[in-house]
This record gives sequence, C-alpha cells and structure tokens, in this order.
Amino acid sequence: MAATPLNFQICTDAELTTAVCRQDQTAFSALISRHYQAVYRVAWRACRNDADSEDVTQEAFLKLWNNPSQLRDGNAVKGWLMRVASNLIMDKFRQKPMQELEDAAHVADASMPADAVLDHAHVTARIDAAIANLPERQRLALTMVHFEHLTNIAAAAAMEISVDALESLLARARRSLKTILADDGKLLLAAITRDGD
Amino acid sequence: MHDRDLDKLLSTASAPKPSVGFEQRLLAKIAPANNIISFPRRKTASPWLIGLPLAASLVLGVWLGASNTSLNPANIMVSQTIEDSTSNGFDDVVALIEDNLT
Repeated sequence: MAATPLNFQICTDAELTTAVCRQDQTAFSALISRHYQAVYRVAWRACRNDADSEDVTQEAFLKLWNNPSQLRDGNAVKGWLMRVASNLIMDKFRQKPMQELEDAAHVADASMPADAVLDHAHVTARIDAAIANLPERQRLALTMVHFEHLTNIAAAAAMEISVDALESLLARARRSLKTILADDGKLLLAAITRDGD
Repeated sequence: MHDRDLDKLLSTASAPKPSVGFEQRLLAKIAPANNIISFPRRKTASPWLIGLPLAASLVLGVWLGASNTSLNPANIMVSQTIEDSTSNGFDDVVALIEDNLT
C-alpha cells in the first residue's frame, strides 16, 4: 500500500524537518514560506540593512538544507534558524571594517537632534538603533520573545540556555534599553502620544 | 522609565519585510542543488583481494631468494651439471671403455 503524501501546509515543523532530512524540496519550501520573514526580521534587527539581512536569511536556510541533522528538535526549527541568522550577522559584522560600523552609528545618532520636534518615523529609527546596539544575546532574547512571540521555553531551547538564563537576558535587555533611552525617553514618548492623538 | 513606557516605545519599532521576490529567489537557490545527479560509484575490488596475492608473492620471492635449498631451479641445474661432468668427464673415458669391454 502506498504511503499517503503529506499535506505540507498543515504539517508540524517537526514533520517538515523530518521530510527535509530526506531532501524533500517541497517540505523545505513549506518551511521557508512559514519562517523566512521571522528569520529576516531577526537579522535585520541586528544590522538594519536589507541586503545583509537577505544574505544571512538565505545562508541560514541553506545551512539547514545542506545539513538538517544538526537540528536536534524539529519543532524548534524557527528558533534554530533565528539563532543561526543572529550568529551569521555577528560574524558578518566582525569581518567588516570598524569604520563602517562607526559610520552607521553616527548616521543613526544624527537622525535625531535633541531639541527637534520628533515625528513617529524618528522615534522608530531611534528605537531600532537602540535595539541594534544591545549586546548580541540580549538582543536575540528580546527579539525572539518580544517581537517574534516565542515562549520563554522555546526561546531558551533555541539559544541552548536555561529558562532562568533567558529571563535574566530579557531583564538585562530591558534595563539596557531604559538606560540607552533615558535621556530622550520623555521626548520620544511625547512624540508617539502626540501622533496617536 | 517605567516598563509600560518602554513597551510603548518598543511597539513603535520597525517591522521590516524582505524585498518582493525574496522567497522565490531563496527557493530557486535550493533547486539546482536538487537537480544534481551524482555519477554511479565505481565498483572497486576489495583491498584484500589485491593485497593478499601481492603479499603472498612477495613472501615467496623473499624466501626463494634467501634460501639456499635445492628448490631453487638455478641450484638444481648447476649441481646437476657439475655432477654430470664429474661422472662423465674426459678423464673417465678410458675407464668407461674398459668397463664396456669387460
């Protein structure tokens, strides 16, 4: 009796990953469609560069395609891809000349003069810059839990740390953000409140 | 700054999206890898099948070369030749004739 073909649109991530281990291209396509945007966002939050984010997203998926056995838990594929993307973007940064990074930071700071009347776009740019400037692991933890809505357990598993360690990273990330945004926090809040009115 | 204020600010962060067609480009990347048909692997003889006769012939060669036994065909021929010449040499012709005459 022939095996019933899987409907990849309703399969779990674990079922798709098992199929990917057999080099099933359709299953891999389904995994890409399901997760590529989240993986892209994680990369983007680290570098705020579209081209680099796309490169890294592609590289993360190709790593999975070429060696799916390195993923231990198929259900954790989303978190795994996010972590790989985050590591890849940091590797990319380490290879770039320091001057490029300093230039990027300078542009981000220059976009918001202290006495300016801020609009929503400026606030967004300021928050994006603050998140990008967090230490790597704090940023990844915050992105996974706050922006991509992974549970603490799933995010901890993806980062291969305990839930306690993840919660500590989240707390430190929030503390760091408060420190970074302390000087112009009121200005930023006023801007988004005014825009909301 | 309160947690609630921070959450408000975080809610204004960008929600970036990949460029149009990125998913298709990504899918196209894996397609060529799937179309590669590898050559059938050549069947090679087991190394033991080649190595064993070679080792045996090497051992035999060394043994024959080192030993001074009558198994060596060269030794057999030489000793036979000397033996023949001593028993049937020119000096014994007279004795042989005399034997035949008596």
